[in-house]
Amino acid sequence: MNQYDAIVIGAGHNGLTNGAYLAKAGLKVAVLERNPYIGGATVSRELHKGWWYSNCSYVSSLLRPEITRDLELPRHGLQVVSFGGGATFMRNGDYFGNYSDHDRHYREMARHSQRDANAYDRYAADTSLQTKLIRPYLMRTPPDPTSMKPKDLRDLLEFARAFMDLGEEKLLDTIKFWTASVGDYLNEYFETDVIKAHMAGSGIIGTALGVYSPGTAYVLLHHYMGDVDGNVGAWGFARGGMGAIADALSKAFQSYGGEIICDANVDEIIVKNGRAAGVALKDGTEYKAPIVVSNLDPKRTFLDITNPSDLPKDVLKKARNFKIRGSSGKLNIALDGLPVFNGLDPRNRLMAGDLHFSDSLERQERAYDDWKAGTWSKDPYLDMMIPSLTDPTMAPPGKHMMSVFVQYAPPKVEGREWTDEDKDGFEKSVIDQISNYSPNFRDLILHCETRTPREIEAEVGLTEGNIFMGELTFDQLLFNRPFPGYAQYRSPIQGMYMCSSGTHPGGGVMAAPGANAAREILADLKKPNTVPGGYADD
Amino acid sequence: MTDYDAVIIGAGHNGLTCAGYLAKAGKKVLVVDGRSEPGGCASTREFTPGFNVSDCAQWLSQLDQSIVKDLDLRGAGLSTGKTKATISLQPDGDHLILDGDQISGAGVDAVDQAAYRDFRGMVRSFAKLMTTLYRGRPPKLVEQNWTDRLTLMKLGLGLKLLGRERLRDLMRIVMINIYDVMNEHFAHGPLKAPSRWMRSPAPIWGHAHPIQCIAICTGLRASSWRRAAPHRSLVAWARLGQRLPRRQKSKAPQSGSAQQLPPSTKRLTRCQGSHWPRARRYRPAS
Repeated sequence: MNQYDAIVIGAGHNGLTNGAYLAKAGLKVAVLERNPYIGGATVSRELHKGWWYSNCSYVSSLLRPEITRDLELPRHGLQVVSFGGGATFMRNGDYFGNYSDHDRHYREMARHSQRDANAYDRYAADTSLQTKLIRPYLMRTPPDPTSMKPKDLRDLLEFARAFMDLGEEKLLDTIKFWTASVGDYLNEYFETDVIKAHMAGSGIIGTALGVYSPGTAYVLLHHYMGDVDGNVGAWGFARGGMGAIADALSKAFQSYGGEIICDANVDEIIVKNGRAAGVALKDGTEYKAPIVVSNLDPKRTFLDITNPSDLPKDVLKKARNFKIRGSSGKLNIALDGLPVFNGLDPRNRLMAGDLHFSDSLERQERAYDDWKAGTWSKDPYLDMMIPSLTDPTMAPPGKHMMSVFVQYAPPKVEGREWTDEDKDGFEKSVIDQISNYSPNFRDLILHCETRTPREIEAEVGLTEGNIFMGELTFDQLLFNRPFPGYAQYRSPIQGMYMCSSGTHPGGGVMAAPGANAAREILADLKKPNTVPGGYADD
Repeated sequence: MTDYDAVIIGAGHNGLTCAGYLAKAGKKVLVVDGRSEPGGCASTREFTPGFNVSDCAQWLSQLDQSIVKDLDLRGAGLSTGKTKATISLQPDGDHLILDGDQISGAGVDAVDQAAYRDFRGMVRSFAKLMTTLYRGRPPKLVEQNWTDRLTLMKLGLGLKLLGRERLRDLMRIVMINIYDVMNEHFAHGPLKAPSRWMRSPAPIWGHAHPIQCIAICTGLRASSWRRAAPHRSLVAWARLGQRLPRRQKSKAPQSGSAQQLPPSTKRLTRCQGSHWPRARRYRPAS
């Protein structure tokens, strides 16, 4: 009865994608979920009557188009609508608008600095070069540089060739880009504080690093390499909130005969004779399967639900050393009407985009200083959206829903656990900052859900509340993700695999780790591959 | 004495080493510096009568032994102090001693000692690999020639010889910050801070000493840069390849002063650090 071909632990977007591809290949698959609802961090919840919150991830861009097409997600109800632009409000009452229209964007930049406006095309070309370089590798298993297997050598050679084709100068630029801080990278192009600050935000979101920490330029790329309907770099809202993505994936999965079991809290992966044999739940139920795929982050996978005696020592050590630091919080707010911001016409399309209040790299770095000191930022970097302007299904007519992503919030406050007073203080610092720029904001609040790393970890199971399931620094990317030697989705236990965002190519609602892991599992089972390959269409 | 094969701007240790090798190859080299003494960051200053201090750099661990040998710095009088233990004083009055592979004090136990030895072993194997890189020019990656290919091949071989586990360690560590490395290797708090220090010998007589040794072997006369002091930018010039006996040092002729230099070189002396862009206009006409 409880016998399956494969069990996937965790019904987040990667777990569902992995399950869907395994089921598509004809396996009998069950996806187990601890919560009573699916989605993990890709979820829409009605936490205030009439208002739907995308209460973890809130915008979509990274979801691989190969997967969207292959699993026919639009047919299963997924609709992603891109939003144009965004704005950073300045302390002097002005703002910087980031328009999606090129000419309008040029004029807006020139309003702040002609030199920056002229530099923008060069910046865009250089950054999109990096995007082009990385995109074909998102849907591929990273080769192991320490291996002598023909497949790894072939892949490495191909990888090296892609880099060599850049030419000496571009290759050196690339090396610099992958290791630089977003602050230094932007300083090479731009001179205006607010322009740099607006762009630098993408380099720190979800990362326990500051704008001047090495490696953050890559995090910027991580936010640029997605697309909405082929428009690379664009971001959009899933109609009905991010839960729509999980719903579409689950429908695709079920259409191939997969089964989703909610309220199934996994206690341990059962290992017999060095092989994965199934999972045991906390309530004692056992599910048997020769293939067990963990969609939990690497720390939880190896330190929580695997018996340490089944693992080699080095893996335990590597799992303990895996960097997964909580750095973000979130506020979901039900609003009685549309807030008005100083300087920006409420009819301006930028209102529907991402709004920020940190107008210099300096302020962003100071916000990080608070995190290092073990407290939430007193002057936080906010990534604020009003999705109901684009997607009216999120709030009742005339009302609005606001999603505020907050950087930074530490996993522990001054070394101790978060308390409710801390949470109130955190909430206050965010609401105060928005109120400074919007006179009517405070009066419009009907309901506010505040999520510190404590809440994110407790509900979604992301260790320390790290939204990417592990820092996106180069020591944890590509063949180093989650750790060197185990980047090909296989665990040291035969039949046990990883498919979470803690594996290549990393966090964000991308679904690529789930698909890549399925390809490796099917290869091990000698089944025909059902996973689409990566392509470079840009 | 009217023109040179090479002019080197900056009489720091790198400028002088470069000059040393060029001189050894028989080239005529001029080294100029904005300060009245050579040395740059590797200098010794008498900050109060009778007391000398290594002004800027204070440890000498990276001076490549092959350079010491090539330029015969020991022959020119360089001597270095013995490696001493690192001692980390603890707030509770105890102290931690790191001496070679041994650590003691501040409550370290066998586990910490093993971790420390392990860490040192790892760092040593990486350092060995890096040394192959330091001794050659950085290879070009795409537009390579055979020298570059050879360097890359050596590096590749070195990586392979590290062994699989060490290579995996390197793949992570090369991009990681020291805070994480320390936390990963040591559980013992006081051990984390001083281990970042790789102990190194200090030069006897301060940092100007190796500089003087390089200068001597290059043929630069100690007296000449002092005489040139009023002209600020001119530190020393020398007919290279010619090594002076030490006794003659004080009696060195005033040949290093600006008066005897060709006009073009005098113009070069106007290149002040803060006016580098202007310097281009004063390129000596040969």
